[in-house]
Amino acid sequence: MFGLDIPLPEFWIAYFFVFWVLVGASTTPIIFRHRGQNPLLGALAGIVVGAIAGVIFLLLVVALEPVVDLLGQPMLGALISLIASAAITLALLGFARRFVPGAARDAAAGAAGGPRAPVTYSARVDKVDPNWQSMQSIRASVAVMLAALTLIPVIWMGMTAFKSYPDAVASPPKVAFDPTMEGIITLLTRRRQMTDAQKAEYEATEDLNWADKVMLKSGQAILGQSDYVKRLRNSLIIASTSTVLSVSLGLFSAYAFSRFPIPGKGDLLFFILSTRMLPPVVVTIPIFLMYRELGLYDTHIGLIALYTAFNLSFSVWLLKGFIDEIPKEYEEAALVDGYTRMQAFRRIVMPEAVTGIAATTVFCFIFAWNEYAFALMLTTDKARTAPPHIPSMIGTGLVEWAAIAAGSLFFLIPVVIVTFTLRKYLLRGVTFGAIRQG
Amino acid sequence: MTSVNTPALPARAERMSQHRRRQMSDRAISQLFIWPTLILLILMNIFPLFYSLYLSFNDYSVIANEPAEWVALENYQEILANQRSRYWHNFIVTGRYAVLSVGLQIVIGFGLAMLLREKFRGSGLITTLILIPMMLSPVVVGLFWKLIFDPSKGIFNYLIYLDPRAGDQWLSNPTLGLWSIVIVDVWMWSPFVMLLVLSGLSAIPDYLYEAAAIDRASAWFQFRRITLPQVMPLLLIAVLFRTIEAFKAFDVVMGLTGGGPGDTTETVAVRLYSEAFLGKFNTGESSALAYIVLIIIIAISNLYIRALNRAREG
Repeated sequence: MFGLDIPLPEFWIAYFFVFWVLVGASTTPIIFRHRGQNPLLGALAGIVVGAIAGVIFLLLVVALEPVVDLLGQPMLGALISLIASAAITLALLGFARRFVPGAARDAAAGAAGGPRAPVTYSARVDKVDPNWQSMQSIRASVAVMLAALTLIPVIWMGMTAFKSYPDAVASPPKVAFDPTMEGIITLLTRRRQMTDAQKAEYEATEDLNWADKVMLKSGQAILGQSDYVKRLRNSLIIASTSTVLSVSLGLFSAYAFSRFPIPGKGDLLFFILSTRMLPPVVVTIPIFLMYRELGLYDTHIGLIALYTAFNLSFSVWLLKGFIDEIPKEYEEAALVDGYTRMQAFRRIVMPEAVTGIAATTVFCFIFAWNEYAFALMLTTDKARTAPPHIPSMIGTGLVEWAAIAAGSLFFLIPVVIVTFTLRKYLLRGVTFGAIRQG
Repeated sequence: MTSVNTPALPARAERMSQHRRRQMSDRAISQLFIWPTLILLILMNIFPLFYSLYLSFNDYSVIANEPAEWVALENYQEILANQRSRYWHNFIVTGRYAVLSVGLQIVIGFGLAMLLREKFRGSGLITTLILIPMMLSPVVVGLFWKLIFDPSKGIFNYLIYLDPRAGDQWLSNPTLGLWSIVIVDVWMWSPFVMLLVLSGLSAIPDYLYEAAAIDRASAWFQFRRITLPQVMPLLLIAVLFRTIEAFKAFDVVMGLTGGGPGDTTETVAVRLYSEAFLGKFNTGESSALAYIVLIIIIAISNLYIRALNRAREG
């Protein structure tokens, strides 16, 4: 790139370049507005200045390299040169702001003793300072870039799921590739490798669906469903049943804990929460023995009961928080009007708590859906869920990374959707309803 | 009662008295609502715990056809005093892992929270995007990081080394093995710390900063005297919560290294699993180990719940 010997992989060059453009484009308009100029013009100027800053940054990294080489530590050296060049570039960006001219009308207004452009963007004394605002833009830019960095593994997994086998294990890793459904089909089917003669014969048959055609390219014929489909179905059955059970039981208990005077309430609630703190591996040994005696080992009912119990503590705590927020007076009014306690619970409390119930349901489902340790230790085949199955795919022969990535994708997608829909309740969810988002 | 309702009163009163007869007392309802939950929890949590305590005093293996033999404290002695069984190694690994990952998570999570503290356009979206790793299945995360760490096929070395081919073999290097688990854990759980710190930051009243700005307090002073003390309770909760989780560390380790290379990343939970369910099925001894882990976790949870109560009150 640019014919320079840049000691950074291309990714970081692009990354920092984007970062500096972002910083430029978001900070310069603030200065422009402050000086009474057009902020749009500022954004344009900012992009140019940011791009220049990016180039300067790269040159600095190159220039600092010989100095850093003296240290003899490549990692440390790269880090030092990065930080030093970032500081210098930032200083340059700040210096460039001096050349933004102040508008004439402001100066005239100031001289005439009239008001300057009104300050409308913040009410707090320390937040109207343009320096503070540009700092905030820089912070925002850093946050955006860090979010991008955080998502790389997730995006990489999504990409791998659509790679063909040679692309998935290519070295160096391929960023650009031909998307194919091979990985997903490999995950969901059992296949047979064909010889050329068989392949020609197979190709001649009429009733090939699109999945067959995709696999034909790598010379494989689809025989039937793979174990993964079964595991996924188990996951779905077990997770949804246990979720329904734990949320409904939890709702009753949460209501009772929230509304009735119960002797030793604090201790009972503590006891309920403490069951959640137990590490799964600790309880599994006796449960394993118990299940073996009762014939519940490797059955759906066994796992459902266990997941229900483990999610119950969580759902009681979370739902209690939600029900506590519904004013008691609503039900008291209903009781005075002749509702029974049960009717009041069903007609007044439940509709009011519906968001809480929905959030709890989704959290419980995700926990059961993601659960690994119990499923690994208490099932072998019949009731085995998907999470313990995916790692076991590695053990067998060629590592089908595309298939594993596709398997993980089934776990990624629901979770990503949930994270977005529940973002208001995430904090509550992960702290057992103890802390509420402001 | 308004005049509109008055005509309906006799009928309603009658209905009410009918209901009275059929309706349960509050006491009965509260019993009915609570007992199913308690019974299930006692059955699935408390009974196993006592059973496990009993087993921990026995020499027993589920696959051997021999009855359990009472050995009193021998199992505990074996774990805590026998050099050859290397249980201390597992505790040390878990401890190092806990300190490293929790420490890094606190620093990074706090940093992220400070960046996202003041709202900007799209800050909600960015916060949610950063939170995604936290919600993923740990074992699946462990697995896909295994691909990312792979020295030739993975992208990790390509991203951090100038010469990826000379880069480290993360998962098969004894010292870097633990670090790779720490990296994954930090990636996954720093957002959790960030979430807690953000909620703490949003609760700090603005006037504290305004007063400080008027008094020309430096940014560092503001951070040390206002931000840090105000966020402390929530930060404490984050630390305790993550420490408990670190002692439970199982899924990610199993997905990523399976305890290897050798036993350099074998945490207590992984050791417990392999003692209890692989090889000799050392049920008695692993129950004893489970109890030791349990006591540690109960101690930490106690601290956690105390901190939680203080945060709720304050």
